Amino acid sequence: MDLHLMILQTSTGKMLSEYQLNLLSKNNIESLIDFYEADEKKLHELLLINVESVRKLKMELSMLPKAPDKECFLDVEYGTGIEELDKLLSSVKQRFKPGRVWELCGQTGVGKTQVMYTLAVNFVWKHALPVLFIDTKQDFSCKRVQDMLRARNTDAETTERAMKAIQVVQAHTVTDLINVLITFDQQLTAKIEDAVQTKFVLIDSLGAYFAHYRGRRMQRLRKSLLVELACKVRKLAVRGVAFIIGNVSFFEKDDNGFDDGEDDGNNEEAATPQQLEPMLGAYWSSVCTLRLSLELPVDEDFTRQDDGLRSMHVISNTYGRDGDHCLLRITEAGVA
Amino acid sequence: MDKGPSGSSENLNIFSNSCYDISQKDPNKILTGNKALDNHFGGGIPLGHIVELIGNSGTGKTQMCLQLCLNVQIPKAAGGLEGSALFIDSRQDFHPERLLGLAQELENKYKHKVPEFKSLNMLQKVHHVRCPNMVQLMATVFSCQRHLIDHPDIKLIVIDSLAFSLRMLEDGAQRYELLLELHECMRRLQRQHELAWVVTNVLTHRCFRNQFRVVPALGDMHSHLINERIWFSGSSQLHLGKSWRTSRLIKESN
Repeated sequence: MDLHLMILQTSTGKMLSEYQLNLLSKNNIESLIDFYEADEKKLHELLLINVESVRKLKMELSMLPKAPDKECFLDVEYGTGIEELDKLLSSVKQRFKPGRVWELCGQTGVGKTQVMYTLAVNFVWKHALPVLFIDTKQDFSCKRVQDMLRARNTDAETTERAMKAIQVVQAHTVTDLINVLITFDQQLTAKIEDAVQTKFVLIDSLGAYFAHYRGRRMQRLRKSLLVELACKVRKLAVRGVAFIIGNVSFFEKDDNGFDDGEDDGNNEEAATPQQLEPMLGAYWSSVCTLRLSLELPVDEDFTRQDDGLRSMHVISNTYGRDGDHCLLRITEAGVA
Repeated sequence: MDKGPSGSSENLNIFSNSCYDISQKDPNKILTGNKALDNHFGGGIPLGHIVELIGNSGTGKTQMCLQLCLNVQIPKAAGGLEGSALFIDSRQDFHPERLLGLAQELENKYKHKVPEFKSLNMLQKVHHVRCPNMVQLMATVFSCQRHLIDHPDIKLIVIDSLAFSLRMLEDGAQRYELLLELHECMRRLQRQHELAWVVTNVLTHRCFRNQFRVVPALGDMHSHLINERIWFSGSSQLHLGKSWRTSRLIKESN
């Protein structure tokens, strides 16, 4: 529990100003234990209150009713509910846990959104906790979630419960998204029930925001917005919220996307084999601890119809090795 | 430029709109008239989406656009939206007679339910703007804001064809710039008004790993920014999906 809040609950603590509270955290006194262990004299000098008040405050703090420590289950493993993916994740030493910030990349239409829906539904299914789905393109389709649940042969009541647990927010611009995360953080601090329970946030998808951020000035603005966003995401992640962020990949070198499909093939550069590269540049690539890329299996015969087979690649991983992949199949009931 | 209407973080309630709540809301979809397609969309094209119709010429894209312009007008008594439509025509391909024919069919279909739903009134509610070049297309899209204030019942705006006027431009950089500008404008309007955009696109060739492939024109970024893409092929079959490789055939059920 937050030290500031606890201090404010005591009668002596109520007299302290916000400035004084901030002084505490500035001097690395962040938790109750830090406060107990801090020297009385030091606190006296720091907060400019007399030693008796410091003693009184410490005593009052110890008498506060112990709240059940809800935020302390950082060791729980969620599991993604997709067997193959779980195997892959455990082989790269990064299981799905609270506080993870992951990125899911892929070409347009490859099935990123379907994977996200599956993860949301699996999570709600398994843990009966709400999830927050942040939609950036007004793309959220209840029908697809409903179809997914129906394909799993769930009864009406369970379907209703699962659907009630998926909270949807529309955020049309990056600023909106940052505001949503700030609000989430505030509500978490204020211990609003919904916010405390929500442990999993999906953002689908980040790439769309920055399509028109072109030119040098806009690129700088983009970078600053991404830094701000990354801070907010991290702040929530530290408090145990897991994130999965969708991003889009293109077959090209820079993400200026200076290509509208009108290339006639005479261009030497374009003729060399190209690599799938996620959008948003070098800075963003270091924000997430794990980058997954959903790809179509390599197949020369492109006239063949889609059989739902995809391969999931680990393209970067902070905690272990990368480069592994697994096969997934997209079905009516989600991804398996 | 990122100051949206919901810019303040004070009164933002992020936990009040669950998936279930959305599914219980009034339907706000435009019937497409194709049973299988409607079934897939859960009752038609949802307002708030940008849907692209793609296919070679003569596969029925314009027909579908006209049909949607009429279907958006189905009276509320019959479960429709009772809106009106704006048709932005860049190919000078708009035939009122074709529209009248479709309107008469629709009138017959709803004769018993809502007898006052007349084909001639339907035609009055399809606003038509001709945009022979890119400059006029941009100007029209930018002035949609004004049209929407004058006619708040516009629920559907069609651009037929989006690719046509864009591809007349020689300069690739400019083309791309204008396309993104259009996208931003379309989204901005959708934030303020409940409406759907339907745009049409064509197929083009592209060299990929020394092979020529048929891909949608206007590029990958455009594909990412639209919500859904409906593929029209010669055999009057419809596919749904962002890329041809991953698209699904929409089966004619029942």
